Amino acid sequence: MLPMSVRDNLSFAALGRLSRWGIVDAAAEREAVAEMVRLLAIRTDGTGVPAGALSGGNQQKLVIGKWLMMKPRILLLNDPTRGIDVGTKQEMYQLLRELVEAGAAILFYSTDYDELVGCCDRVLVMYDGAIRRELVGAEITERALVSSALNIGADVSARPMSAVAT
Amino acid sequence: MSGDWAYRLREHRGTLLAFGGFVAMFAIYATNHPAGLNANVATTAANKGVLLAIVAMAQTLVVLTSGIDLSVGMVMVLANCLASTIVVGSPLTTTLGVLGVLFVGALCGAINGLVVIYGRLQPIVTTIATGAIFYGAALALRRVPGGDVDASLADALTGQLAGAVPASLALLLGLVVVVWLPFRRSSIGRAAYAVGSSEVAAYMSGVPIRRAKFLAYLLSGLLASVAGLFLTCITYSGEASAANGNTYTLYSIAAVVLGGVSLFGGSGSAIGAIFGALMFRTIGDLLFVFNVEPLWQPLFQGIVLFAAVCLGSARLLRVRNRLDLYG
Amino acid sequence: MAEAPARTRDAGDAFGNGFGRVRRQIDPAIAWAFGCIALVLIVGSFYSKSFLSPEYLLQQLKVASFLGVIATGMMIVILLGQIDLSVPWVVAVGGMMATAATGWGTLGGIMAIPVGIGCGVALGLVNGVGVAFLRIPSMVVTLAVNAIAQGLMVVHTGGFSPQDASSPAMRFLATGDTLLGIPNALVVWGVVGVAAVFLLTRTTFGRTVYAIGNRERAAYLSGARTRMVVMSAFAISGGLSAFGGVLLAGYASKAAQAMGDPYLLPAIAAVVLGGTSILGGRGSYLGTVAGVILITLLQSILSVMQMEEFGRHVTYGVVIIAMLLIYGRGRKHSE
Repeated sequence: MLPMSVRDNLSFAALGRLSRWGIVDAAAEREAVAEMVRLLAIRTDGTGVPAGALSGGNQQKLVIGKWLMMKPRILLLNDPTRGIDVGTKQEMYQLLRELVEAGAAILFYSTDYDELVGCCDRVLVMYDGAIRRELVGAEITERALVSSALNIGADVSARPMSAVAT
Repeated sequence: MSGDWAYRLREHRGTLLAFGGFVAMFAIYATNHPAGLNANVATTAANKGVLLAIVAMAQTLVVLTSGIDLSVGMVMVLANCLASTIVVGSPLTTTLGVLGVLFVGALCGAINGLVVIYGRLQPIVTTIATGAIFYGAALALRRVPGGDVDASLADALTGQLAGAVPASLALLLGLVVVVWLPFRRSSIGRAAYAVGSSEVAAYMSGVPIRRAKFLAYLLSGLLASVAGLFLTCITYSGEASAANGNTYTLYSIAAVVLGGVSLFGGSGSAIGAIFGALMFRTIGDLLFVFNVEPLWQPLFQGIVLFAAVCLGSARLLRVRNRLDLYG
Repeated sequence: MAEAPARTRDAGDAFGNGFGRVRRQIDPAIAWAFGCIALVLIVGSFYSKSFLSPEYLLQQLKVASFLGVIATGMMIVILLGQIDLSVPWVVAVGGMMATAATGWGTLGGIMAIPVGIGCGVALGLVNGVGVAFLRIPSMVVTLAVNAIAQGLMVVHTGGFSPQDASSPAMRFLATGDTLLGIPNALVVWGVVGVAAVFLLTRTTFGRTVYAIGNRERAAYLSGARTRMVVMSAFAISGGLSAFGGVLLAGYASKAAQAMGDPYLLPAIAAVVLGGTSILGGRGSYLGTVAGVILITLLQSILSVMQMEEFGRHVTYGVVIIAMLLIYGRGRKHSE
């Protein structure tokens, strides 16, 4: 919601938590927002600035921040780093890792192999609407990913989920 | 080639539904009319229907570009008042009068277009304001109802051809052939659809947005003035009635929706709007035919209008993903 | 997930505290609106000495109150990105039902105002359901509801002018002056206004309204109960329109056919002139207040100037366009 301020965007999903009987607790909101900005290292000239003034990467952080304000235990992300510059991507990965360390479960969808290799503990590869392979830990290599995605039973170190008819 | 037909059918679904709806309504009307379906009954019905249909056509052109014209009714009223003043006298002055009315209508449309395009104001507010201006002009021409119109012209337009077919239908057909079809087929017409569909995409594709919008508003004003002229022929006088203007504006929107034209722009056809208008008028007449007490007629008309727009806008049934509703 | 790391008071907190409240720039639209008000007052004083007198101004504010109440409802709906064209006859319903209730005996007299408002809320709910749940464009739904309301009132009055009188309470609210000579109607508008501002700025409802106006899809995806909010907004608008009708009936001591017709376009114009974007998502109530006062003064200056009726309409339209050209323009494609 680009014309709205950074603060409004961040607090929107969590308004229920931040308000009593429908009335927003402005002080609590300010604190929570400031904290999130700090946590995600969102670069902005203050929280009253319209979201449209931020860079793409920071806007993406806003969206993630919005959901983090709900203090979720499970986070579902769809291509979270698409279109973001490299530096911010690294910050994002760092953040996701920290969240996981703190006990969250994160499920994300991505088509960026480098990202998957560098970031994930487990990868489920889908082909033609079904999960075909699960790669864990060291098995996650670019080669394994590509071949699984193309449904070639090539790499010996991958364990197929089931016999796949081609 | 069967796939081609299926696609064509789906694309024109709105128009076809409007056509079917109208045929059904009219059949009920004709069979139940106390006087039966004779030429005079048909002509009276046609005259009222065609009047709304022309205004609906005008509205369609603007709605296609994802705009709205809340001043069509007032342009019609202005044309009505003007016509009652200048469309009189000798055949020469009558013809000049007609041209004058059409010119003023086009001018009104042009004003709308210019403000929307170059002023970059929203159509809804713009046309509310210009509607007030046009109404003021109408009032200046006809502070009290009065005036006259050339009798032979009026008779020609509101009478019958060859003793059977209402002349107004011929007028409507003429407008479709001369205004709508060329517009629809031309590249500018297609540009208008593109603009209504997605102005951003149209801009990126180099579509002549401004020309398309301008033409749409211009033609809308022109058609509205034809409606005003026709109204003068029916009533033989000019009246600056704000109520009438507002009514026709609102009914034109209803007709457009009934005719399968999307209020968001980019799809639909003026032909659908015409059938929507005719259907709408017929429904009103149905109440009369079934002897509904005059007192209850406005209420029934309102309920019918409500049901009709619910059906006409029922995107709910066609949408697979709930998220599309919020797009 | 674990809690966010323990909060520490550090420079980061300055973000929220520092920039939010300080230096809120005046919306240019509001500035222009108030500027025009001043202009109209000055021009008016040339035509009539008493134009600037306190009595006259207070009278103007009283008249403006009726429009103000109606425009408040309209503003909330416009903020959503929708529109409410059912105002004309919902206003009439409010007035007529309230006066009718008065005729039902003493209980009726007490309940007159709530009955009037309640009818408006009911009609507003119909609008709301149509827009929020059936996804019908608001323009069409509200038009249809307007037609239905008209039909209902025609049946109710039998086609004649309504004869019922207003209750004493209605007249008191609309015409009385308590509190240091300030018209009650103005107080009523003030109360409505304060409630509206509170609703819009301090509640989740208000935040959601602005969010929906900005991008409904995003609001929906963020978990907001968009449909309930939209429906409620229309219900509020209906209630406020009807309340306006109740006040009008109190002012005139009775209701009248088509009493709401002169309030639709001015209500929309007032909201838009006050800087609220017709597309939704942007606007502040102060602007609407300015818009209402401006429109009211404009109408009265035109009658003071004894301009013929046609001139009034033309001026009206020209002023709206002119003001919007100054501060209501959209963005160029290249931006």
